[in-house]
Amino acid sequence: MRLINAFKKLSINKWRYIFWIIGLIMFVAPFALLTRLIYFTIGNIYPPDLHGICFRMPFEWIFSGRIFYLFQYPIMFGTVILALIIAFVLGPIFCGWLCPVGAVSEALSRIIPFPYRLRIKDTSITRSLRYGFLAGWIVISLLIGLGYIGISSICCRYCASSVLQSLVDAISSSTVLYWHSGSIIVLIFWLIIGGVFTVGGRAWCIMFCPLGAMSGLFHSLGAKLGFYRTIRRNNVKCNNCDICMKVCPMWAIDSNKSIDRTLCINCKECVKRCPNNAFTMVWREIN
Amino acid sequence: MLKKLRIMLTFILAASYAPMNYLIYCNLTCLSCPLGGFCPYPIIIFLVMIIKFGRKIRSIISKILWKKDIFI
Ligand code: SF4
Repeated sequence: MRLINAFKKLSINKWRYIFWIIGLIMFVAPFALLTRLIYFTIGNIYPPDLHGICFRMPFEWIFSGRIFYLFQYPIMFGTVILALIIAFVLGPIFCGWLCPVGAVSEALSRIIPFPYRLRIKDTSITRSLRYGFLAGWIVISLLIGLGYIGISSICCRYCASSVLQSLVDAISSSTVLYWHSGSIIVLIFWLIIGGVFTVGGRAWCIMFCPLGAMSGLFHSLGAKLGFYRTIRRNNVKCNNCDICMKVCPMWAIDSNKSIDRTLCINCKECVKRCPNNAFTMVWREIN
Repeated sequence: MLKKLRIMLTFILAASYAPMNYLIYCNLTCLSCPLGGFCPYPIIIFLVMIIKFGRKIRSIISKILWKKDIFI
């Protein structure tokens, strides 16, 4: 019975979950179809995997002043820019609908019953965690660029993509995982504490992903300029049942039911799961 | 005022994480760890999590122990 109920719940927002699978097939080896196609087109001989298109390194290159890397890896740069433009106009739908790292942890979080999962209720605290981390991350990138603290990358020290790819490799090709303190901490925080044991399973995306944080900024900038696709809540229909707060994977809805644009990823979970249809996805009118 | 202070503190704590991560990271694989794999880094993070979510964790454990109706 619980299985049938779980399946019914999944079918409510089925297109999103279908896109999760498409994202996994597009980016994660052994498939990595998008990366494979790009490599084939440009004649790259490296085996395609989730590292082929890193969603974070281009930001580090920009902030550390190593712009020449952007020309060396134009596909990575192009993908990130495209994700930001989409975030500006349509909201960060790459994060909510395609990113395999967020999809896996969010999917796993559904295993544990709701009361066992953690969540920060105050969106301003969540926001300051997200942008506080980004600020520290930018400072480190600047220091790397200036040569004060060595030249190795900050992104590679806590890479959830590499842990995901290693786990898939271990399952699909019995490759032994390459563990180091960074991957242990990622595994604990991305998949266990921040994944399985949090509401929505996206604590990693909320706090540690520079692409996610930048997309949030572009989303709220788009909101200020007034042309973007967004979620709107109808106060009259809302009966304060709090279901939206429980289903929002980004902890973007606070107890007043206002939506924090820097956190929202336009995943439509609130739209689909609200019993009173109080949430709708609309094109925001220009004020 | 108190809320602003909390937000600022959270911001500073979060901002210190990336530098801490960069500096603590040891560049070794676990197999070659001189501490025999007893890595202080995940332990620090665990402690921080326990401090932050201590009350919630306690209530979860008590729910498990007293078998309250956990499904809503
Ligand atoms: S507010 Fe709604 S659309 Fe935005 S992240 Fe939360 S559930 Fe998804």
